[in-house]
Amino acid sequence: MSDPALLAIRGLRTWFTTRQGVVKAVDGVDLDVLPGECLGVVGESGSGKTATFLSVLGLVKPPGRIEAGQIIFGGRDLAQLPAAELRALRGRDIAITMQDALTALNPALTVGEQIVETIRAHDRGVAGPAAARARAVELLRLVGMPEPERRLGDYPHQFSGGMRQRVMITIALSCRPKLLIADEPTTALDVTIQAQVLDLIATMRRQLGMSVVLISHNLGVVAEYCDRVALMYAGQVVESGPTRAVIAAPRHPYTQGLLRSMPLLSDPDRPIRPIAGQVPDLIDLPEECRFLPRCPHAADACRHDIRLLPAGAGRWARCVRIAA
Amino acid sequence: MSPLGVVERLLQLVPVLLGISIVVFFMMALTPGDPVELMLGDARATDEQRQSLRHDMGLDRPMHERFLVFLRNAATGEFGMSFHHRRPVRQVILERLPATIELTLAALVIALVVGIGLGVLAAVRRDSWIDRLSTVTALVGVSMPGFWFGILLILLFAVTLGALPVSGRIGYEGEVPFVTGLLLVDTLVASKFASFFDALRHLLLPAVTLGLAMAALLMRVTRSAMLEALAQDYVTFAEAKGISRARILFRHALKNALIPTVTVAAIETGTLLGGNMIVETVFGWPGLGRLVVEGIFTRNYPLVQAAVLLYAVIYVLLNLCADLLYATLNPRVRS
Repeated sequence: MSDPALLAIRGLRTWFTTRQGVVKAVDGVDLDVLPGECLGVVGESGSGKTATFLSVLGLVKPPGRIEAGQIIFGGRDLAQLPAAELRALRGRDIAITMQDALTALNPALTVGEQIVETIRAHDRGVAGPAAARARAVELLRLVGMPEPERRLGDYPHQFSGGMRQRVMITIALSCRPKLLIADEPTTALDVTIQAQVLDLIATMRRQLGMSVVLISHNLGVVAEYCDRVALMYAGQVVESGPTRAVIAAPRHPYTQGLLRSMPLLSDPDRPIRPIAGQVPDLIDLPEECRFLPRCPHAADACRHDIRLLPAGAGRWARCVRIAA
Repeated sequence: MSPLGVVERLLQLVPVLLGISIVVFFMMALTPGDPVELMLGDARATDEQRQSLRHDMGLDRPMHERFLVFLRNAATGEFGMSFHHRRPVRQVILERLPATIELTLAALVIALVVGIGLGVLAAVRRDSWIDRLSTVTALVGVSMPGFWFGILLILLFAVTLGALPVSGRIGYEGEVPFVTGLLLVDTLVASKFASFFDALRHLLLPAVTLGLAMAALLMRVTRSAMLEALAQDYVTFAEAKGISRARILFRHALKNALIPTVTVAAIETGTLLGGNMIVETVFGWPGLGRLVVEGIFTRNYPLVQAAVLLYAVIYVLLNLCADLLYATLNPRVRS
């Protein structure tokens, strides 16, 4: 992993203590986000993508808890930062857009208030409400909202799905963050709107020079928009590297299986082969490769804790076969 | 809700009130007991005197005729003479109404402040001793009958501690010039601060007694609505924006939590009216509730009919209020 990263996650463990046992939602994640890059984080539901980045923001709710690890951002370990300092940083340096704007926006407050409160929470330079409002209008225009002045007074339910997503992006970008975490920005949207929203995020990234983490379960989306990709499986990163290289020659059996299970436009006759078996239960996992039960290459060597190993130029994979 | 919608809702009240009038009239008319006998009591009145009184009161006419007279009167706001007071019912009721309104408003304020305050606190400090304590208090508050709780309060604060008066509205009512009929307001208008505090001390126990059950209910509703709101994505997103905890609690969560709470509060205010009858009797509060209880015992048909009809109108209007408040607080309903 090359320096200097904007965000460096090391050995992060975020566990949820439940009646049934300890759910190791994030269990030893190592990840770097480089300045200005777009990093795709791909994995199935429950693979720990969202939990990892909620940990970064300090927004894991009980019974969840960061058990171990470092989250280095701007020279500080966010996992150790006092709540007040972390709050000052949220929204200003690191912002997030959530999966569904309909539930992430407050139904009882106008979108204007929701944008303005973010600006005013962080930017002391914006003097009064009027100036913050003017900035909100400007930002809405920037993300392609028609008639922004009029729409400030509207409530979230009065917007279409795509426009709501734009409102949420506006809020996230309102303080020009260094890092935007886009958590499944297109899952709740129609296919036709998806590309618009992704293009908007890409445009804003260039304009603001920020880094973007694009969390998705869609490898195709990530392939199109991200410089690098990290694949997560059962609470761990199993492979990471430059997007093209990883897709062209995946090193981890999970990535290989994932690619084989996707239809290809270039080769529609290629048979689709799903990965056999199921994602393991995250309670009481044995200290061995998480993918072992589903892996076609399973061997005795896999029966101990596997670390991320260098796997070529800027590439890492969590598989014993790399070392061989 | 549009102005037209409100008018529509008001028009819907007409058949509702007609139905209530029928029930009110026959409930009273069919209750055993003869007002004439009760009024004359043991006095050795002759049959002629009884007949003459019965005629004066209109009770010698057939039931359906009496009902039509009642309906016509009700429509014009006239309810005839109160049997007992020998004065127009309307006058008697209007005299007593301010005391009841004052007591009800005070109970409402107590219920809202205590109920919503504790509800928010319990939700924010979930599973703490505050949460447990307010849960137990709420359970007790809902379960305890008002008349018993009122008597306990009297025993403790008035009899044992001697800190608060046992009954009545004020020591010397004659000193307060009539403006609104609400003593707390009128004493302030007249700058009689000693009387204001006197009235306040009289009001305290009955208002607490009356408001207790509603406070308990509102506390439970607020707590669960707050917990639901705090678990929503929009709260997580608000936290991710880096805004203050206070703003998240009181602007983001509470604004949503108040939607069910205020709706319940508006409807429950109607229930306070019923509680008035008990509390006013226990505390000797000279309001409408006690007047109605006395009216029932003396078979004062015109008085009870008018009062019950008034209660019904207020109750129905409060329901309308609940709907309007719900629409005002909830933007998704408004548009």
